[in-house]
Amino acid sequence: MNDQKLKIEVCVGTSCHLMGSNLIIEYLERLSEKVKAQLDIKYISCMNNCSQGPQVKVGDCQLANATPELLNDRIERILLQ
Amino acid sequence: MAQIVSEVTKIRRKVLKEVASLLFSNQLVAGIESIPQKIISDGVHSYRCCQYKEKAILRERIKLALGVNPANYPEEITLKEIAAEVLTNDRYKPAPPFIYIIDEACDHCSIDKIIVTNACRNCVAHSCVNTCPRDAITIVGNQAFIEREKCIECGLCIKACSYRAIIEIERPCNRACSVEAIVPGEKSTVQINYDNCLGCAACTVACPFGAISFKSEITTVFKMLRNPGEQVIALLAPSLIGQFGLSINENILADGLKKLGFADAYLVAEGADQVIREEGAELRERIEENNGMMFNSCCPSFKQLVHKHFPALIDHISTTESPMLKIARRLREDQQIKTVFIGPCISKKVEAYEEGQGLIDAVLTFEELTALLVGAGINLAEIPEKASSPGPYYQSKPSNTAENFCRAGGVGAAIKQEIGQDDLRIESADGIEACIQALNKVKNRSLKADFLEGMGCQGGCIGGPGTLIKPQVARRLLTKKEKS
Repeated sequence: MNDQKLKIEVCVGTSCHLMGSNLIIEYLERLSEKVKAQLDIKYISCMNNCSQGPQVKVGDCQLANATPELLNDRIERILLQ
Repeated sequence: MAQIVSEVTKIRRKVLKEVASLLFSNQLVAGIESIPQKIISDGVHSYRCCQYKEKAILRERIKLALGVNPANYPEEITLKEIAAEVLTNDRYKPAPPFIYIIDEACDHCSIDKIIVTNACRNCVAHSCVNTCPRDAITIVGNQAFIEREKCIECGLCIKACSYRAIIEIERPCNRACSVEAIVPGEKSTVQINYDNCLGCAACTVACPFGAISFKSEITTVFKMLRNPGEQVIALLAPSLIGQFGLSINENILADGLKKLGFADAYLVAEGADQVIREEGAELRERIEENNGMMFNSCCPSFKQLVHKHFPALIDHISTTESPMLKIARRLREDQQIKTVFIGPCISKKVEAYEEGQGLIDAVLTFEELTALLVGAGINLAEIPEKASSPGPYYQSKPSNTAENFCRAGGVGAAIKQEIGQDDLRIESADGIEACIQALNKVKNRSLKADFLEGMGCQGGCIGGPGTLIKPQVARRLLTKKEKS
């Protein structure tokens, strides 16, 4: 594990909210402190891909139609590397 | 009853959003036929046998989003024609019943309630065969077999099987409906018996195929907002806390509503404060005159339940109008306005139509309002907080007690506080099933209470079918606000 935190950006714009970005926020809040310590979580007001929300950026990779499961998969894969 | 954001929810929201977006860009008629293709290419997987069926179902969803009864518009009539009619017809107004079954989407799920699964090992004891009071079970092909004609669905065999190999399955819509309003339809689909239906919309949340949905009023509201001669006022239900995102407070929302075209916004909790006083006075009078228990009148599904299924108890319902009607009546006293109630509730659509004629012009769920905002290109997260105009919004600050009307137990607590008697007996029931149990107790005089609070949705309004956040989150926010 390197020292740099994994950057997570979650779109909380109204369009993504309608598609369930609140579930993503809830998922992130529920992560264990140990995992959270490795993440740098930011909430963004728009990520400019509103027709395919919720939008989440993990590192440099932007996910469309994101779900907690999809995000969990990504985070796990990167953190376990 | 509140929904998690399932794929079904997302599809409904996408349809609303697309229709709203075409409305605000004045392209509804020109663009409506392309919505199904757009939604499919935006990533809705095909769940059905083929894209044609998927599109046919989407077309029905679009008709509902336009607020019309799809049954009145057979396939020959194009979406384009319906859109043009909806926009130009001055008498267009979505009417009850609002809840509708999309036959094409219904998966015809099994109504054979008791089923033998493959876990059956054809054991030696054959407890199932032995316990069946109607000899409906025989052994066929090395497995227990239930003869449908004989089975009375008593469930004894389920308990008897040592392997739990016999299970009871029920259609999710059926299970969600406590008043038997979901009945078998033609060709093994379902139908709604509207004589029994309370409009609570629990079935719309329960169906995992999204086959039960409701007529939207977004077009009605859009037309009002676009009419320059109209002052449209938004009436926001007490359950609005956190619904539009955790960082979106009432002032930001008010700015967003103004951008959308509303002239002003009011908190319905103000009306709830008035209800607490009047309902309190009514209860005092009742107690003095020894007139028996009183029920709340604010939940339309609960009220419908009493009217349709416990008619002998109608006199128990408080005659005080609901907070929605109260505030609308007050605002209309001295202004020429149109009012739109915005809340978590689909049942309110019926209440507004049947009891609020002339008071409430339309009802939107939080979901429908958000679809309108998105369609109009308004992102609440980008409205700066300090820019919120103090304006005429939210003239008086409602009490915490009134704001708590939206959570189960909140109305009862408010009445108790208003009466100020420690020995006042309050009972509350949330969810139609619990309400039925309570009302049965009232009927056989085994419920000892002065006031019964009945809420159609589990958890109260924050558990309603038109909400955007989980009831647990809303409850947490309410508690936090109360303490601050």
